[in-house]
Amino acid sequence: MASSGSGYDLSSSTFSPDGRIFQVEYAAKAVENGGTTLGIRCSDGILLCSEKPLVAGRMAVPASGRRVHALSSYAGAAVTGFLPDGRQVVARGREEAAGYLDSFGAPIPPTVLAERLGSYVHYFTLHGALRPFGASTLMAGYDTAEKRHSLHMVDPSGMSYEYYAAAAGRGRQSAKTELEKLPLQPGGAGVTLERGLVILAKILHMLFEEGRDKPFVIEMGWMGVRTGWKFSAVPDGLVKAAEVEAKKELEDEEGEDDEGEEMEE
Amino acid sequence: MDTVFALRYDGGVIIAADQANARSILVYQDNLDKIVPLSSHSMMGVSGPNSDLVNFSDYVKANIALYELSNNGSTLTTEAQANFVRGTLATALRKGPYQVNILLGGYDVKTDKNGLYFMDYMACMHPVNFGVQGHASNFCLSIFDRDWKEGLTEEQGIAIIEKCINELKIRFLIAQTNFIIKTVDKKGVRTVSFGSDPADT
Repeated sequence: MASSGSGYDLSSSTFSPDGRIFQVEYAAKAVENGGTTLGIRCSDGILLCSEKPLVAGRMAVPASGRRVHALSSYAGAAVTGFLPDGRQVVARGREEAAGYLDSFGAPIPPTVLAERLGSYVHYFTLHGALRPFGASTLMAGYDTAEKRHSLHMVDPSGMSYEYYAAAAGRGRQSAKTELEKLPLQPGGAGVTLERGLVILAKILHMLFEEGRDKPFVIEMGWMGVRTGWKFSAVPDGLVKAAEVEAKKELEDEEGEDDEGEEMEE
Repeated sequence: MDTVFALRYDGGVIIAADQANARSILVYQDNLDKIVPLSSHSMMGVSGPNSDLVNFSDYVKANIALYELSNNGSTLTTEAQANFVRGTLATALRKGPYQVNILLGGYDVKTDKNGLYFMDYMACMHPVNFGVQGHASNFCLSIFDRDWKEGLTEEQGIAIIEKCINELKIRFLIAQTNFIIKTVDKKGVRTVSFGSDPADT
């Protein structure tokens, strides 16, 4: 796998001879072990979606252990990786948003919030006594002044980018392949929130492998025209309906593949 | 006693102020510019002792510039700037208050909206269509009340301001000969006229 740290990986305040900070890279590994988390910037809103494997066992209440959180009226986040670390980033995001509202009497612009979260996460990569966050945060926000919605992702190094669609966690490679097929770039037709629900549910179910993966629950949060741009959890009924539709579409697609095979014979 | 007054018109805000810098019976300066530009599209008319006027407006102006530098060129709306100014006044209020009364006006290019905010030295703040700070309010508010309406052009706005200036020159005990008038619209902050050039040192 990755080359051995051999002594340069003991502290996040140490560079390796080839210019890497191993602790930050190891933190990114922790994120790669987390449940797949997806975000998509639809034409009429933003959708965040998290796969929540039921690791706590059958005695845990499925709705607990939230991964999708509201940061303020017009901002929300989904975390993956080492979840308690993610929880801390969310807490900070809430403070930043509330503090900005206090100082400026206006909701924090998403670009500013993403930069603030990035700075915060980055801070933990510079101090010898602290360890980096083992979590990536997908952030959805609406800029009330510019009337523009945007999706961002902050990784354990503190870097943040704005995305048309983003994926983090276990299944991110395959998820990115699927997301790249969507017409989300400027000039593209875009995807509606309603369609997005099904697309994201489909990706998560597509990645699921019986036997290898634990059964999971899907958590979704959104903001858009239909919510007045306020961030909230997607109602359970809609999530379930999207999953049903997604499974049906997956079966139909498998059926088409089978048909193709039959015809070749 | 300073005079600062302002009104909103369709597409911008006009702020006017007298240019005297005086204390007690002595006039130190007759070309002071009391209307401070805060950003490319906002400005603040300030009345009060010169020490607080300069100290406070420098502080606010620098912090607004810092925000733009720290946030990749992202600008603050007029409302956000006004809230920040009010917050600064409020925090200082029970420590070492700034004795400044303010009219802050700006134009938000992103939303095509103008905004005018009245703030006093006790950190109250309210959006207004027009406002006056100082004794001049006794003379000018009634003119605004009668003549201001939604949808004024810049020319009509300036005419109302000139009316106020004339009224003050006739009826106000303190002789204020020089007035500076500035507008802010989608093109930015611009000086319309002044009684005495502030650049004259």
